[in-house]
Amino acid sequence: MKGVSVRGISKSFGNGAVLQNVSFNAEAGEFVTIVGPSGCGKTTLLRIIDGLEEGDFGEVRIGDRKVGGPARECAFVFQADSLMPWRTVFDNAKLGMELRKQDLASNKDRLQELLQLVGLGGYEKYYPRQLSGGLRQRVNLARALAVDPDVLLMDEPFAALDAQTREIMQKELLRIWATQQKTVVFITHQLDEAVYLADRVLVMGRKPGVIADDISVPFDRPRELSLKRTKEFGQLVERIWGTIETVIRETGGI
Amino acid sequence: MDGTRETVETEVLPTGEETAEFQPFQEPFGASARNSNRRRAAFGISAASIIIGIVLWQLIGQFLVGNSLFLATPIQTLSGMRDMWTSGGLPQDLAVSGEEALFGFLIGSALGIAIGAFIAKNKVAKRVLTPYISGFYATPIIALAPILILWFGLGIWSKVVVVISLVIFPQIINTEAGIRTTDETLRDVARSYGASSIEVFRKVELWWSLPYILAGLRLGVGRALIGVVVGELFGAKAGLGFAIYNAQSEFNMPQLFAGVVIFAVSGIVFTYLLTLLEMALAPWAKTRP
Repeated sequence: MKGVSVRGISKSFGNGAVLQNVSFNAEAGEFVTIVGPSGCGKTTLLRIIDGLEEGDFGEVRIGDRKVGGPARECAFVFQADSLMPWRTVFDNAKLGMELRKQDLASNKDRLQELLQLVGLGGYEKYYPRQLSGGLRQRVNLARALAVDPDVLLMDEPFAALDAQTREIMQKELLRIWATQQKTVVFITHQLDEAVYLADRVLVMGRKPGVIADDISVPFDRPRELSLKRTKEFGQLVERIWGTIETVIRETGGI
Repeated sequence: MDGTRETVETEVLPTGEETAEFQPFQEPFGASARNSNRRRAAFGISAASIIIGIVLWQLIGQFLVGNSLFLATPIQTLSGMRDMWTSGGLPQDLAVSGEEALFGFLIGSALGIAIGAFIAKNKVAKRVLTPYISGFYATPIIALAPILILWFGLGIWSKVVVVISLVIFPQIINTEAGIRTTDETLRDVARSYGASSIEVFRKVELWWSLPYILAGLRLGVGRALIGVVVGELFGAKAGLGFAIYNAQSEFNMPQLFAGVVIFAVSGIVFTYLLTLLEMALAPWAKTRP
C-alpha cells in the first residue's frame, strides 16, 4: 500500500488559474475527502493525481514514484454512467484488468469474489442499462478494485444518486474499504458525506483552488449511518461549513 | 447491513447479504415468455398488413382498373413470374443481380466503414474529404450510371461500381458520426487504465459506433437494390433490372410487376435479416440510435 503526496500543483486553463500551489499528503491506507464549492478545481486535481492530466507546476508522488501519465498505482472511480453499455457487469468489471494486461484466467475467481463483495453477486450477465444507478456505481467500484490499486481516486461517485441510495452506498463503501487496504482520495460537494467517510477532510477554496483547511475526523470505525444524527457530527459539519462560507464570500459570491 | 434498503424505480434493490434472495427487476436479455409473445403479435400485424395490401391490389386491379396494361393484378404478376422462371431467364437474372447487389453492398460497406473511421480519427483527412463526401452524397449518382457503364462495360462490375457508389456514402457518414459522438468519459475510463489510442479505438469507439454502422448497413440494403436496377436499365446483358427493362419495352406488365415485386421482397427480407444481426451483435443498443 502506498500514500499520495501532492506538492505545489498549479494548473491554468485558457480562462485563468484553476489550481494554485496545492499541496497535501494522504498517508498509506488513509481515507481523505476533499470538499469545496463547484468550480474549485477538485476534479482537475484528481485527474492530475491519476496522471490523466498534467499540472503546470509541482509534482505528484505515489509512494516513491513521481507520476507521469496514467498511474498504474491508481484506479479512478468516475461519476455516474462511465460503464461500457455493450459490456455485461462482469466484462465491465474486468475492463481495467484487461487494459493493464493483468492475467484474467488466474484472476477470474478473485473478480467473482469482488463482485460478491460489492453486492453484485447474480448480476454478472446484466447490461448496465438494466441496472439502477446504485448498482451501476457498484460496478464502477468493482472495476477499480479489480486492478488491485494502491490508491482509489473517487470523483463524486454518488452525486447522481438519490438521497437514500447515496446513504446506503456511503455505508457500503466503508464496509468494502474495511476489507481492502487502499488509500482513498474522495471528492464530493456534500459535507456530511465528506465527514462520514473520511479520516481527514480537506476544504478547497476556489478561483484559484487552494487547500483552505485540513480537518481530522475523530469518530471511531466502523461507523453507523446514525452517526450523522449525533451532535458531535453536526458540530464538525457546521465548522467545515463555516470555512466554506468564508471561502465563498472571499472569492466573490456563488 | 443495517437493514436499510435502497429504493430505485419502484423496486427494492439489494444491499449486501440481501442479494441472494433479491428478485431482479428485469430479466437478462433473452427470450422471456412475455417478450416472445409480444414479438409474435408484432409479426402477426405485419403479416396481416401485407395480406390486406395484396387483396386490395387484386380487387383494385381486377374490378376498378380491369386492364393489365395499366395495373397487373397479383395473380397476373405471379403467372408472369412463372413464365419468367420456366422460360429460363429468371434463375440466371436472379443470380446476376444478386451477385451485383451482394458484391457492391459488401465492398461499399467495408470501404465506407474504413473511410468513416479514418476521417473520424484524422482531422486533416476529414477536411480534405468532407466536401467530396457531402457532394457525392447529395448528387444523384444514378445520373452518373451511364458513364460508369461506359467505363466498366456491360458485365457485372459496372453495376457493382454503381452499387458501391450508392452504399458507401451513408456508411462513411454514419461511421464517422458514431466515432465522433463517442462519450468522452468512456474514453477517459479506458485511458485511466492505460489504454493506447489503438485500444481506445478497439475497445470503446468501435463498439460505441456499432449501432450507427448497423443503421448504415440497413440504409445500404435499399440503396444497393436501387443501384442494381438502375445500373441494369442503362446497360446490361442479364439481370433482374435488365428483365424489367425488356418486359417494359414489350408492354408485358405482369412480368414488369414480377420483377419489381422480387426487388421489394428482397428489400424486406434483407432488412429483416439485418435487424436480426443487430439484435445478435448489439442487444444492449435498443435504447440508442
